[in-house]
Amino acid sequence: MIRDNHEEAAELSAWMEDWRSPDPGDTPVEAPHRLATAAILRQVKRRSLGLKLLTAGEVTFVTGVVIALTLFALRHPNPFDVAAMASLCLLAVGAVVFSFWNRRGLWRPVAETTTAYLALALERVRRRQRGLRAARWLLAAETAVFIPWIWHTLHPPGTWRPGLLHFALAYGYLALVVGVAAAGIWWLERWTRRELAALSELHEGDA
Amino acid sequence: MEAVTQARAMLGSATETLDLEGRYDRLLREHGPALRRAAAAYEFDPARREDLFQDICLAVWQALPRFRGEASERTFLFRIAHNRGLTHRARYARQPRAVADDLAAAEEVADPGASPEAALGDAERRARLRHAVRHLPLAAQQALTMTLEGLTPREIADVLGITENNVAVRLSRARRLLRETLTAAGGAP
Repeated sequence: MIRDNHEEAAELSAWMEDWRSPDPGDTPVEAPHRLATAAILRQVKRRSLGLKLLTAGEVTFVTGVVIALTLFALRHPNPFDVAAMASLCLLAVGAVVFSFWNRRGLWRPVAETTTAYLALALERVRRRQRGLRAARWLLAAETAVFIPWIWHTLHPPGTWRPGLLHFALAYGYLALVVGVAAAGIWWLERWTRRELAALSELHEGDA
Repeated sequence: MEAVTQARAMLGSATETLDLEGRYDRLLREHGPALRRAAAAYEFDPARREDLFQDICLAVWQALPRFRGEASERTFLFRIAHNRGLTHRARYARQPRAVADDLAAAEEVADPGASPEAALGDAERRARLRHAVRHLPLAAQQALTMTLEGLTPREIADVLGITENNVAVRLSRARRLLRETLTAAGGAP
């Protein structure tokens, strides 16, 4: 069959029109992808580095804490001090192990897609929430170790007995440290909840 | 003095980011549907197609800071889309394809008792065209989809890294195959 140029042009034009006509199943392409791509990509990449630095910082800190506690226990080899330091060591090591476990699968997205980046960002926030819940328990457990240890330290063998001021200073300092830590956890939880809400909103927009 | 330089650098960086987001927004607004169709040519499964489209958008966002207008915007976008499409196809080549296709969907809604003119409505005709394009050999499909998007042979040659003559050969073959497929399927060529 011989087709002239006019016929071929008309055929191509009809195909072009059909090809370009919108598919009813298509969703709008502008805003969700721009928002998700620009904001999430930047955030996920920044936080990936942050996560690695945080993990390295945690390991270094816990190593330092364990060394310090061990040295303290070696210098004060009475059973109470050793038990308290061993408990604190166990808590510190347990916390870092939990932290590693809690970050499994969070290092990089499963695919180079906006959905995968968004899913990773959401999962990181959820895991942070879990980490913060664990941090509350860790703080409570450490406080439970410190309260009797301070009491024991303030009752050394011999005739010297501490005054009310000594107790007030020691327990006041503990209360201050615990209070600051609790406030930090509370603030982080609040920030995490806000971030989770914002990301969930983006995720719904992207879906 | 150093503080002023730093402030200028920060201001410049912020302006650049805003400018980049604006450019990205405009590109997606103008060419988003075409990129989605390019993704559709490489992937049958609707969910994976959406993933591929997002992958393309992400690649565009990542490549945009390096785009200095050496080629036209369309060439830049379609090069990314087709490269991502090829990577996607290679990645999923060994996985089973979803059979749910727009042709099958269109056939479900077509009324077999109605006259050929009525049965072959706009939706079905479009679905047949898309189905046929997706089944073309890759080289032919690439040349044809870009032609259908209005790219010139020169632009297609730039995207694919081939000569304009080669584009013409591929396009001629694609049109012949498409015509045959549509005729065999009962649609108007």
